[in-house]
Amino acid sequence: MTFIWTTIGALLTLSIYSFLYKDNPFYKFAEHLVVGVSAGYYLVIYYFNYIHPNVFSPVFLLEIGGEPIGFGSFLWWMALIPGLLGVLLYARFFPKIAWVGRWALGIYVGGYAGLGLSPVMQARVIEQLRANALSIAGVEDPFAAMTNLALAVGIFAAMIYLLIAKRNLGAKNPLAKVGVLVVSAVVAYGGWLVLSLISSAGVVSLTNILLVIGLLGTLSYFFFSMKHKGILGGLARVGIVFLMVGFGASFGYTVMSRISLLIGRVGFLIDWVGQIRGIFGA
Amino acid sequence: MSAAMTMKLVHCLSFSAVVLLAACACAQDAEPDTAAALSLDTIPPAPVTGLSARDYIDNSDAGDKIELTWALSPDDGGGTNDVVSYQLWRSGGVEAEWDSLATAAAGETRYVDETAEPGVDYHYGVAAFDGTSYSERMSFGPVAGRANFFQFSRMSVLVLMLVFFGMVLVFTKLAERGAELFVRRIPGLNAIEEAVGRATEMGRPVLYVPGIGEIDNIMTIASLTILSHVAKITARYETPLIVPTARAVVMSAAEEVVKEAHAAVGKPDGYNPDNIRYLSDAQFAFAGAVNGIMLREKPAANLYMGAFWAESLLLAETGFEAGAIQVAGTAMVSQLPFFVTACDFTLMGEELYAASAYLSREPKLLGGLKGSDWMKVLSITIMTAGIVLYLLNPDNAFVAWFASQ
Amino acid sequence: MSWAEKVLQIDRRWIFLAIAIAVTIPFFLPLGLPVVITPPVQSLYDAVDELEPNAAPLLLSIDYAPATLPELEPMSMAILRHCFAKDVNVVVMTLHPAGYGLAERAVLNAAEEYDAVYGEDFAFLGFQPGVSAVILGMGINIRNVFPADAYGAPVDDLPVLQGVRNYDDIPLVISLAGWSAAEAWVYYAHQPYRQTVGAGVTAVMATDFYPYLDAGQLVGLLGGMRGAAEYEGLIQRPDQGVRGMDSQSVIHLLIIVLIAIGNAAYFISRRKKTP
Repeated sequence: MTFIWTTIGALLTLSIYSFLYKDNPFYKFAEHLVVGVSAGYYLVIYYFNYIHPNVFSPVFLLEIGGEPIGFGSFLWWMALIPGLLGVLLYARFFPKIAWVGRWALGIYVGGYAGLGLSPVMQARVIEQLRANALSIAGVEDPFAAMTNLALAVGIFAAMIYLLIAKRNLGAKNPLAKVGVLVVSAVVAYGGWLVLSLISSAGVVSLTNILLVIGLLGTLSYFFFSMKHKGILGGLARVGIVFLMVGFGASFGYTVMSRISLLIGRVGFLIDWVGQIRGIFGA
Repeated sequence: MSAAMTMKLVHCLSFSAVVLLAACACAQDAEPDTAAALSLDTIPPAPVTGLSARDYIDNSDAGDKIELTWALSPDDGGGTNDVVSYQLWRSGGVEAEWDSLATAAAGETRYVDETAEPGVDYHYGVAAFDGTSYSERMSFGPVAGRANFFQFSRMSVLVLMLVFFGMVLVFTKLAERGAELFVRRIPGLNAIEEAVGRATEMGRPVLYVPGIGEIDNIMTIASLTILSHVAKITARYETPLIVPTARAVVMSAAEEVVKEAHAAVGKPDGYNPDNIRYLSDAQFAFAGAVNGIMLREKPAANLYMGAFWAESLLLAETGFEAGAIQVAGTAMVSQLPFFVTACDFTLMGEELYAASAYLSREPKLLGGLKGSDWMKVLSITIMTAGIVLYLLNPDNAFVAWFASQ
Repeated sequence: MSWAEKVLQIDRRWIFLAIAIAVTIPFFLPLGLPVVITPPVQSLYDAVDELEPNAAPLLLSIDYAPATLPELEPMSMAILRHCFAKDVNVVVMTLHPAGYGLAERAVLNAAEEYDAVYGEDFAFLGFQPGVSAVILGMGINIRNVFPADAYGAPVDDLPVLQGVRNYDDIPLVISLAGWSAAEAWVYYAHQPYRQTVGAGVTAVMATDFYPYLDAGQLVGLLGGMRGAAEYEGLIQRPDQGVRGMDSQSVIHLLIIVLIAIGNAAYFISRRKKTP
């Protein structure tokens, strides 16, 4: 029995992959089958996991999770009202009363936005700010922390210098001079850093520092209230470098992901061929 | 009993053992009564006094914490000084049985029960223990845990959120009153105009794909604003503008936008409704159909603005092979790498919204853009301040307030 | 036509064919390339390894759909085998409607290998829609969201969930997802309840999750089939993940070569056109 299902799966996989040669009826058949089957599957899953236990069962069978509830009780109303709001969403099929659907949608969107706002703000903004700050400052040894900070500022200034100072400010500009100073300082510091790393003085990894620099640069790139000139322009250029490196990494990961899917399917097909050989004793 | 609780108990016990050892060491110095310790101590210690329990309110909780406090037994640190620990019990009611809850070390006068069921009335009992016998059990109750209305430890989240919302509202109001809010010109807009210009020179159409998002997708809305800008240019130069859509509602919206653009530049007759097309709701069928347009009608400029998923590379690659100038814009981070590699210019993430705010000067868009802009400045400031303050003093109050959970 | 132009105009079906061959060959001629363990995988492994046997359960949220099966199923198998081999209790659930059958299949197969007993060593809670509401609700009481397991048995009747009320009694949650569910666990379980969360995601999503890892919001991370292969290496039970790694390496090499050739051809043909 399993073999039959596997064979159907394998044939459908081959039908889908036949698209790589060119569009053909086998591909179309498999594609439509996927759409149809998943629609049916979702309908059943959603009905029995959602509508039945949360609406139908409490409202009509007066039961929640096997426990009886009273008709007209608080829990009964709490099942009925959201259920009715859900029905309102279908008002969109009747143009004259389509607007009532917005009430339900408003409650739904508002509720979920409320649930999400504070955790997302904390997870994506506050925690990230804290972690970035601590990645530089939060090392035990204050001297090491100071050197981290100095290193971060140094690398940052050097990048800005290399990317903008000469072009935008002219080599004689004092900022450009500061840049030269900082570049030399960073080179000197780099040597010291290598020494300190060998002697494990507790300096955090360069990754943390690059991370913070990348964050600042990228934020500056997406700052729209000022022209990208001068320092901000330099920061933004640092940001774009990090963005591009990020896209490159993301691209590579995507290729890896897609290839993994292919490997999974090829492994499945090879196992299927193995089963055929087993059955026909080849 | 859960493992976490068991672990806590073990910790408590081992801690009380240490305290016990220390107490013994002290006791030996003060009054060496090893004889008393060897002979069975049959006199129970004096009970605790002033036992009370209340809902734990010092920090925010979901109503599962109840705080017990008591005064030391007179035999703890005084009297016979032989109390080694306090045994704590809990019961679900006056009639219910006492369940062992925890052990507190001698000298402790407080315990927080973190396993209470919110809203359930409990009774608590405490007795002093001298190693062999318990004192009389003092009890207190009923007491129930209530969920805290406000979680003070996450004040920083609320404050930042209010500041952010406040900035958005203020900027929106300012924009509504006609204040000049500066938004820098997005380089991508120049790229769009160049691409349209090139198509006009070559006498070939412009293809504008507003993504496959629904009309309620913010990226689709931003895309329609940019479409209006593009349509005005093409209408002026009388360049055909093809807009394939994957959603029926987006199609009607795009029709309106392009028709209005023609009217706005005084060329209402130039509007060709056949060029605003609905192709298919199905993602890859849509992509296939757009690719067909690229190969057959050979647009010289392909603009992809809006929400794109896996079809992004299929479109951009075909356009690249067909030799069109391509400008993309999307906030779908996962699709940006593909657009960046296959297009001549890409509006990345927020740039799409910024471009739409820049072009439309719509107060709500401007307010949101300016608000998030200054939020970025605030973020950088907070981070820098955090680094500096932490370096000066790791226990800094500001840092602690921000880092508190 | 120069070679560069020929290369640029190659029928892409040749590339598909080359990829297909490169994927298939290592299945028959394994190269046995070593899989180096990366820190995010090691720390997730450590977090599972430190769980106490026959005590508070690991909550494994198998949130993937068939589309990302090859990347994520090896992860769930490796983690479940790790747990069952060490007698760590496991509670499995899913936030994806299409994940129901996949989650059930993974946990039952792994349990069979180690003779784990349903109810005592593991339980399957099934699917609940609503993602954020589900995760937040479980922080108050799991029974509010899952009054019964997937087969209708009340949660209180399952020994593995006895005394487990909410996240306070769950030492570790791991979400395996090809969509934003893993992020939702960070937002709604780690952030409000300080629950320790680990994640296994597709390689496409992995870059998005490193910030959470760096900020300590995730205890560990498995990225794509490669992450699964590393975990399989750590529990010394190579399976689908390790099996795919040879193909993965060969293809990556092929793609790097193709990118290099394509770029070289592009620049050469452009230089010829410009004068």
